Amino acid sequence: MPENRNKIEEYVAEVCEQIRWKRAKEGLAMELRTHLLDQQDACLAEGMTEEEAQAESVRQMGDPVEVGTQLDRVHRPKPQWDLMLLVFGLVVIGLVLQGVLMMEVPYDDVGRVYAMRRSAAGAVLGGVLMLGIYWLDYTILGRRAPWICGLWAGVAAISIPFSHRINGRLYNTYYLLLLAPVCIALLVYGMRGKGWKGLLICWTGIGIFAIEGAVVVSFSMIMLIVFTGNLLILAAVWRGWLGVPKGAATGCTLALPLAPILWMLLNSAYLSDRLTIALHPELDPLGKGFMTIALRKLLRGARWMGRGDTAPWKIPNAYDDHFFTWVIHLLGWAAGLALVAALVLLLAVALRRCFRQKGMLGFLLSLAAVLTLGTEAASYVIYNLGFGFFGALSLPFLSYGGRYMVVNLALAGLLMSVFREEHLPQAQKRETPRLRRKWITLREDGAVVILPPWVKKAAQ
Amino acid sequence: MARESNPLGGSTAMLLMKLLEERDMYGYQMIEELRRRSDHTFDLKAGTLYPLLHGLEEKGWVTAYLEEENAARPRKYYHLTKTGREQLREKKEEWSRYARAVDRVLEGGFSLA
Repeated sequence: MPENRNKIEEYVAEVCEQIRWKRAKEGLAMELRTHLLDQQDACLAEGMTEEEAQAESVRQMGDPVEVGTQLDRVHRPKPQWDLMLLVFGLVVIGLVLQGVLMMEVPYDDVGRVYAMRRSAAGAVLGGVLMLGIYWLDYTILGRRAPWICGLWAGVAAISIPFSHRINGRLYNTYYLLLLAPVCIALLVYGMRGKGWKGLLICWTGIGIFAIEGAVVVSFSMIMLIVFTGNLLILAAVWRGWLGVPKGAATGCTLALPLAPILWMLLNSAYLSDRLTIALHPELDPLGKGFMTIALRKLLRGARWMGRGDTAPWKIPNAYDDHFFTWVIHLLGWAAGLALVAALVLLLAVALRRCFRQKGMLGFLLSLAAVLTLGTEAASYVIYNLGFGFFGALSLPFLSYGGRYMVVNLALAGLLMSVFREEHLPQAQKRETPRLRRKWITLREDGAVVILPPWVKKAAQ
Repeated sequence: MARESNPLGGSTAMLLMKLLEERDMYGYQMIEELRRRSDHTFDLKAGTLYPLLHGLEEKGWVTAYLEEENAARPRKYYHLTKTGREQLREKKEEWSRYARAVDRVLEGGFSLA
C-alpha cells in the first residue's frame, strides 16, 4: 500500500518540480492527486491489483515533465512593473514639486529642511514597505480576516489617548484609520454565506470605524470609511458572497450612508460652516471662507502654462493641503491636469485588474485599496479647486505628508501583491445556496400555504 | 493566418467547452464523458487536459470552484462563463465552416479548370 501511494506522490512531485512558482504547487498537486486517485479507483473496479491500477493511472496521465512544463507556462506570477513605475514616477515628481513649492513659499530654513526630510523619509520608508508587501503572500490576511479587522479597530481606539491634536484633529489615530477600508474588506470576506447576520456585522464594523473617525474629528475620514465600506459590501453582495437577496441588501446598503449625512443636517452649526466654506466663502472672508477665497483667487489668475498672475499671499500649508492649487498657480493648468491624468490612469488600470480577480479576497482587498486612494485623491482635488465642502485627505504619492506617503505606498503594495498572484491556481469553495425561509409556499396539490417558516420546519 | 483558418488546433478546447455547456464538471469526469460520447475515439490524456483547462480559466472562459464532499478528495469543478459560451458558439460556427469545406473537397472532386 505505501508503495502504491508513493507512485502517485512520486508522479505529483515530479510534475511539481517543473513548476517554478512555489505557491502554485499546492493547488495543482491537489487537483492532479484527486484525478489520479479517481483513475486508480476505476482501474481497481476493473479488477486490477493496486499496483497495476497505480501504474495505469500514472501512464494515462502522461509524461510528468511535459505536464509540469505546460502547467508552469500557465501559472506564473505576473510582475507589476508598469504600476510600480507609475507609482515611483509620481513619488519622484511629487518630491521635486514639493521642493519647488517650499522654495516659493516664505518659510524659515529650519522648517523647510524639516519638511523636506519628512517627505523624503516617508517616501523611502513607504517604498520599502510597498516592496515588502508586494513580495508578501497577501492571502495570510484571509486566514483570520474578521479578527484582523477587530484588532485594527482596537489599535485605533487605543491610539486615541496617545494622539496629539493638531488643529483639533487626532493625527496618530487618523493615519491608522486610513486602513479602515482594507479592514472592512477583510470583515466582509470573513462573512461569507452568513446572510443578514453577516451584513449586520459588516455594518457594525463600518459604524465602529466611523465613530472613531468622529472622535478624530474628520468628516472626510467618516465619509471615506462609510463610502468605501458600503461599496465593498455592495460588491460582495453582487457577487453572491454574503448569501442575501441582492435587491433588498442593495437597498439597505445604499440607505445606510445617509446616516452620517443626516447627522450632519441635524448638526446645523457644522453644516452651515461647511456650506459657508464651500458655497458662500464671502460671508466670512477672514474666517471660515478665507481659504476658499484665497484658493479661488489663485486659480482665477492661473494660466494654461506658466506662472499665474495672482500674487499668492498668505496661504498657509502651501505644499500640504494646497499642493494641487499651487502647482496650477506656479506651472499652469496643463501641469495640474497632467498630474490628475497620471493618477486617474493608475487608478483605472488598478480598477480594471481588480475586477479581473477570481478570488474574493484579492478582489475585495484590491478594491478597498483602489477606493481608498481614489477617495483621497477626489477629496483633495475638489477641495483644491475651491469647493471645500469636505476637507482634503491627500493627493496620493504627490502631496506632502510623511505618514500619508507611508500608508498610500503600503496600499499600492497591497494592490500589486494581489495582481501579481492573479494566475495562482485557486478555487474557492462554492457558495452553498442558503435556503430562503419562505412564509408563502405552493403545495403539490396546488394549495397556497401561508405559515411562519419555523412552524413549517417543525411540521417536516 | 493559416492557424485561424484551420480550427483543428483548438478543437479539444471546443469539445471541453461543449461538455461544460451542459453542466459543471471536474477533470476526471470530462475525460470519461468525452471518451464515452466519442465511442473511445477521443482518449484525452489528463496531462493535456489540465494545462488546457487552466489556460481557458486564464482567459476567463471558464471558472473553477472547490467541492469538498469528500475531505480526502476535494474536487475542482469547472464552469463555463458567459464569455466562454460566446466563444464556444464562435468556435462551433468556425468548425462547421471548416468541416463543410473539407466535405466539399472530398466529395466534389471535379472543377471547371
